[in-house]
Amino acid sequence: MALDVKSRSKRYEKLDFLGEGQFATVYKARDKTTDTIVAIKKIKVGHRTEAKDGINRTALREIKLLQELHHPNIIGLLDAFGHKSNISLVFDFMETDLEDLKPNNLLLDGNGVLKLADFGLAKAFGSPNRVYTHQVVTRWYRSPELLFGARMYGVGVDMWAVGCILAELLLRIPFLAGESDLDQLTKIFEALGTPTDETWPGMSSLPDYVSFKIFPGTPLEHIFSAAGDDLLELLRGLFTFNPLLRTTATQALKMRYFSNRPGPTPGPQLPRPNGSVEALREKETVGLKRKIEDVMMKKKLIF
Amino acid sequence: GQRQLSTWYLQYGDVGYRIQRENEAQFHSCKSLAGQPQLTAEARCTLVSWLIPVHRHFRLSFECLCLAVNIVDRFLASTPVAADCFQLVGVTALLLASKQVCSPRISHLLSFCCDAFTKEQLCNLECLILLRLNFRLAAATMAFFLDYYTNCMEAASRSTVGDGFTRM
Repeated sequence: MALDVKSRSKRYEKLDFLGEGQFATVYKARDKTTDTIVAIKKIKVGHRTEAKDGINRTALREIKLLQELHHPNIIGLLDAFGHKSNISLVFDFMETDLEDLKPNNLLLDGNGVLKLADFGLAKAFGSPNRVYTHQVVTRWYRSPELLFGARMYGVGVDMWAVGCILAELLLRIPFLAGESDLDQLTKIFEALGTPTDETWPGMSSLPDYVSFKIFPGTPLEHIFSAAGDDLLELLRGLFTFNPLLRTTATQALKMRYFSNRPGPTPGPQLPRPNGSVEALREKETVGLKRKIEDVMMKKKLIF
Repeated sequence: GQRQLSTWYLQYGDVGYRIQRENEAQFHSCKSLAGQPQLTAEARCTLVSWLIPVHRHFRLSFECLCLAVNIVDRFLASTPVAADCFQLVGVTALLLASKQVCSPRISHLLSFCCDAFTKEQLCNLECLILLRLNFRLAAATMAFFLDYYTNCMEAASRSTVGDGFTRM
């Protein structure tokens, strides 16, 4: 960051406009120093009306977390620079478009490596700020404790979302596509059975708790008829109602599903979306635009 | 009565503690005033003493206050600040820190400085601070460690009580 701000922005050559949302414009650009393709997210603070309270809070949180996160499966924040009151973030450019965990925020790079994106709503690990907002995850991937208004929650909300994503990969359509928060809970209970205070102690004291009709639930092997026993076992663990008993990432990785044959296909051998590279690029750009619009729209509703 | 143990502490207290301890060294500048021609330790004390009631007025958290002071210190270590801009640095740091959750209006914050500064000045400084801090805001502050140790003490007292019962 010792470098002069102006020379830093000159390091990148804008190639293409990728999308625009409520608080950012995204460009495809070339990093002249490393000759790589990057995505630049330029945070809007230019307009007086938009700059009402300075730099966008969501963007700031995303920067804060991505600065500290370095992991092969998390989208890399390569650089951040600013000029006058403009802030730009430089990310890895993701070739395929596939806080929150949902399929739209899972990207694949050219080598088939999965990357998580969009940390605008993420919370720092172990943050002592315990009263979180419960409107954090796109509804279909939201855990029952969030839907009941829990303000103190943990990694369990992400594991529930992982379960929903896994189910969606199996069904190829969203597993629990609620149209409102109440409808979401109904869909969850219809599929998995209505929990009781025995299966989920503390449920009825959550802030937005309402009692639901008792649904028996459908056995998971009937919903996911092509899934093997090891996969059903994993799904059952992820869809545990009591957040304290829900399977954690560490526990999940130790489950049979991840060691049983067949092993995972190496990233570069994964089938790519159909079509030529050019057609693919075109599709990706459209996909990324759609993703950005989707994310922005969601955030506007949340705050 | 017993105090509730925090969910975060139960789920990943020790991992969080390890990460924050590792980060601590990178986020704390002991010599924040060394390169300051106009600012003294007394001035810093005055600023912090003012930030305390202001953060309380806006119902901001203790964590937020600690982060604001941390931002001020790290910015001072990087940039010489004129005495008449020091309060603006303080209020801008408070704004940046509060943006982790829910921030007050800039105009409202500036009214607490008797409108000595303009909104444009604050917004420019907000960007400058971010650049000088390399956009790094996830500092491990006293708020975290106090919360962690309080939970540790509570957990320890519980296990003592538990042992007592076992022995009986």
